Amino acid sequence: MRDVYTWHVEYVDGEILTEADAEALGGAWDHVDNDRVRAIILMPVQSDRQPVIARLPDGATPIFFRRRTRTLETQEEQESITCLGWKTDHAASYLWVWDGGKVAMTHCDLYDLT
Amino acid sequence: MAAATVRAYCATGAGPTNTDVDSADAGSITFGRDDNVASTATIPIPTATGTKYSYLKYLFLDVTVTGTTSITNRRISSASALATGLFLFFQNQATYTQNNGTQGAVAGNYPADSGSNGATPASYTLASTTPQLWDNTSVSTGSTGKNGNYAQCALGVDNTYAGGGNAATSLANTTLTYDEA
Repeated sequence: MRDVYTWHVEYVDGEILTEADAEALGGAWDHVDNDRVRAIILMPVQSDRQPVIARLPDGATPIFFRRRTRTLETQEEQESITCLGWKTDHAASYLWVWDGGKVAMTHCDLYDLT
Repeated sequence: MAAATVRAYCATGAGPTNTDVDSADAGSITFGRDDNVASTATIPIPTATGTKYSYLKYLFLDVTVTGTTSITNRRISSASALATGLFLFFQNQATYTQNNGTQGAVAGNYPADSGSNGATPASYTLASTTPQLWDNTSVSTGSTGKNGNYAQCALGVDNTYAGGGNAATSLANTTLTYDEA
């Protein structure tokens, strides 16, 4: 699977962890220290895309995954959607980035209605 | 990230035999009443109110090239709505049991006929165009082979289906969605 974006994580102390760093450690997103993340940066592998940045509020948990599909019986290319964002006990905010460069944001505030 | 190469597979037979059924080579499945990937034994269309079902298809995600990631949030959907009277049902299934040609709720059974149209068999969920979860277990892609559980599927046809007898009725494409990180 060839992805068109790669992630970088910026920690609160300015340290950068890249996807390649995590891969070199034999892992992936599971190598991210969630408690120290200040921002997630999606860097394009191709020059015709723009970086996408999600900055986290204090105390938020970073979110990152690539949503992939396998469709039976077709010859279509399988486009991935990369999700980066954060969540807290009271809110969640996600940026959805399509391989083609389209970006959408979803945000929800969570209320306890009980 | 060392992303994995993941394919959609279908398990059949006693082994089972695992067959890739996704877009990479235009493989396909056909629902019917035999234990083949592409079934040829047809499902009877009810002549009165009721629903009849196919044998089981065990779909799953298979890691063909390992990665350093993990997969979770496995979901299934139809690319578009099925024709009136046709229904795709699924359930999460950890264990493969070969189709035994018996109707019932025991492992390997296909669902018993229903006297109602569009009836969802017990423990199954009706698939739709919205992806629905079948297995949310996080499993590493560090090993080749099946990743997560099976989506145990069956096709239902009820008395409202107007397509007529046809051994090769086309269905909307089935899509397996997952999250990798």
